[in-house]
Amino acid sequence: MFKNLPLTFGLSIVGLMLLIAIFGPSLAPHDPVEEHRAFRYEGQLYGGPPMAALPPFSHPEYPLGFDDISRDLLSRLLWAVRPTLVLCTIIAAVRLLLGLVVGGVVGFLGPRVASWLDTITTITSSLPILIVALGYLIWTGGSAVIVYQGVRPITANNAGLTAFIVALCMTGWVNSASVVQGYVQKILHAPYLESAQAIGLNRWQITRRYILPQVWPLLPMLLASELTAVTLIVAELGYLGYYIGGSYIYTDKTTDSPLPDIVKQKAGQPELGQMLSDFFGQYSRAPWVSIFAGLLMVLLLVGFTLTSEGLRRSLDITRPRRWSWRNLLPRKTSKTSKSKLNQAA
Amino acid sequence: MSRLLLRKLALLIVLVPALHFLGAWYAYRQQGFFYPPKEVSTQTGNGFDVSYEIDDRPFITHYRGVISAMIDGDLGRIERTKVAEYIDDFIVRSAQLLGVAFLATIVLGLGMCLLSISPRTGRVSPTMVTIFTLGNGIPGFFLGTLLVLGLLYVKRVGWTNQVLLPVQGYSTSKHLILPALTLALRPAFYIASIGASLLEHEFQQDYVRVAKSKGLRWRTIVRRHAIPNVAPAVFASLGRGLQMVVGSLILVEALFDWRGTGWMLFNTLTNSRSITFFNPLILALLLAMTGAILILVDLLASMLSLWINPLGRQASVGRG
Repeated sequence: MFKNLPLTFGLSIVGLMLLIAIFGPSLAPHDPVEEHRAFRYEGQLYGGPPMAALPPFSHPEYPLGFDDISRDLLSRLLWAVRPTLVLCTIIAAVRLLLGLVVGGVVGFLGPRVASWLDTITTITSSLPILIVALGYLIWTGGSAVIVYQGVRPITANNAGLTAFIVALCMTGWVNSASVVQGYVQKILHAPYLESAQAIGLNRWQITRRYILPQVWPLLPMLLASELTAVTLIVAELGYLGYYIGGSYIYTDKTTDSPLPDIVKQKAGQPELGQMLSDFFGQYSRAPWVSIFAGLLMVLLLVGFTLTSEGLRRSLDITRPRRWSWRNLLPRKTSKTSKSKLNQAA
Repeated sequence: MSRLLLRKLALLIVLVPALHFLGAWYAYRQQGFFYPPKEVSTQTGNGFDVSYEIDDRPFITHYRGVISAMIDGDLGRIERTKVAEYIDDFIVRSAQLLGVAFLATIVLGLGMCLLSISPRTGRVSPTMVTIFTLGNGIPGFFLGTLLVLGLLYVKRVGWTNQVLLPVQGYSTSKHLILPALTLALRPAFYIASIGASLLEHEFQQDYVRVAKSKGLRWRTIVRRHAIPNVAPAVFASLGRGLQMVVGSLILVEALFDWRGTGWMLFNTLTNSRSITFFNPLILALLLAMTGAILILVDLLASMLSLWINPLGRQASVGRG
């Protein structure tokens, strides 16, 4: 069972996150967008910005407390995993598909075309993907909506899913393309391909019989590493204030005080990247929001990283055993073969 | 050797002007004008009449003017401020931060890589590899957030009289510690994990077994054989690691309010009250500088890796 520790842990974390993504919203104890503007508990009044936020581990019904504008944090976290995971999976799949097609074709066409891919890799590495994605999101979302709280700007962008996909795929496919290209070239130089050409197989047959079966095992590893990269960028963009989904204006306006003192732009539906945003806007009131959302994001990232590392190890031929789902289960070692070996010796 | 370096140098020469153009064009398209409209007040019979004078010359005319002024050594002006005088403080601060972060990345990364060798088993310790992988998965800004909150919490509880390290700002050298650490940690883990996996592969080679059976000390095997074989690849991965440092500059400077070029880039893109908001001159300069630093870092790393690699020196004779 513990032959490949990273893979075991990584898959269990990813499985847990998948479970949260699937069943989380129905497990959530409260409505994630409902505000508790005046919440009395043990003689204290909790609520939105003029009042204090309910801290975590104090109320049995709200175990993680409120966020800074008095919404139940646990329900928000349970709701937040699904959109993030869907977003990251779509983007990673698109990037992987692009990388696979481009890398495969370039690898097949030989080293002269491959040098072009190398040039593109260098060009994309000269522009950080964070800046590219930020630039594209600002480009499509018009100018960013900006609300000031104190001296810190809170940026909010109503970017749609398509904008996110394009922004993160523009330069993101290059890495997996170069991995696939290198792999295909390595296969093409193998001696058995010479014999395949000698018996008269055409390009399509060579691709189908020799290249594709060797590239498929690479895919889970590439997908996991793409997921890591995409989730990281989504987290960073969220931290800078760019996330999917709309937002609304929170004010402390009531019938008694028609002129609000506090006006905040807050997101409605929860998403992990969005919950990481506005750290300095809420750290004095509810620092635990950033910590819990960050922990969940880090758990997701660590799960993907460990899975990709484990898959890489299992593909490594210098290690003794190839990966199969049976490796996750305990296996009996056969003693007979050992004794036979001893007899032979 | 020379061909690779020449190609990267050529890319530097082509890409940096291209990025400059792209930045200026992006800001121009976003704003709709190159220079902000000038306020012109004319005196009329009953007071002043204010109107705006919009400069509607095409982009390329403006850009040509900017380039020819740059060749004469003039970076232009934002309103009345000279760009050159405005931006140099920011560049110096970013350079300080990047210098410390680069140093920390290299020292931490290579140090952790060497620490992961376990002399007892003669392999790389799997615990350390797992730690490296985990560290690789944790984004720098989260670590930075935790550090900030921890420092503030310690002050709030009353264990210390004041916040141990300044959390935001840029005035003293103490302000440098947190952002540099946050910038350096993830790339350091990346370099360490690459180095560790290469070392592990190296320790399984036959020559290590031969050397062991010859009775060489473990330390000698590591120092004389394994490390020189691994070093070129590790130094090549150093380039990627340092690129990661530069890539997260914008995030970390925005987080710690370190007024460098990353902070400026973030403000230029998002803060409509800043005087550099979508200014074509500034955006072009910042993009060109970021690109130049990223390519230069990569170039330096590949030069280092080729320089310490005896195979590369020999092979370059044949390949040119």
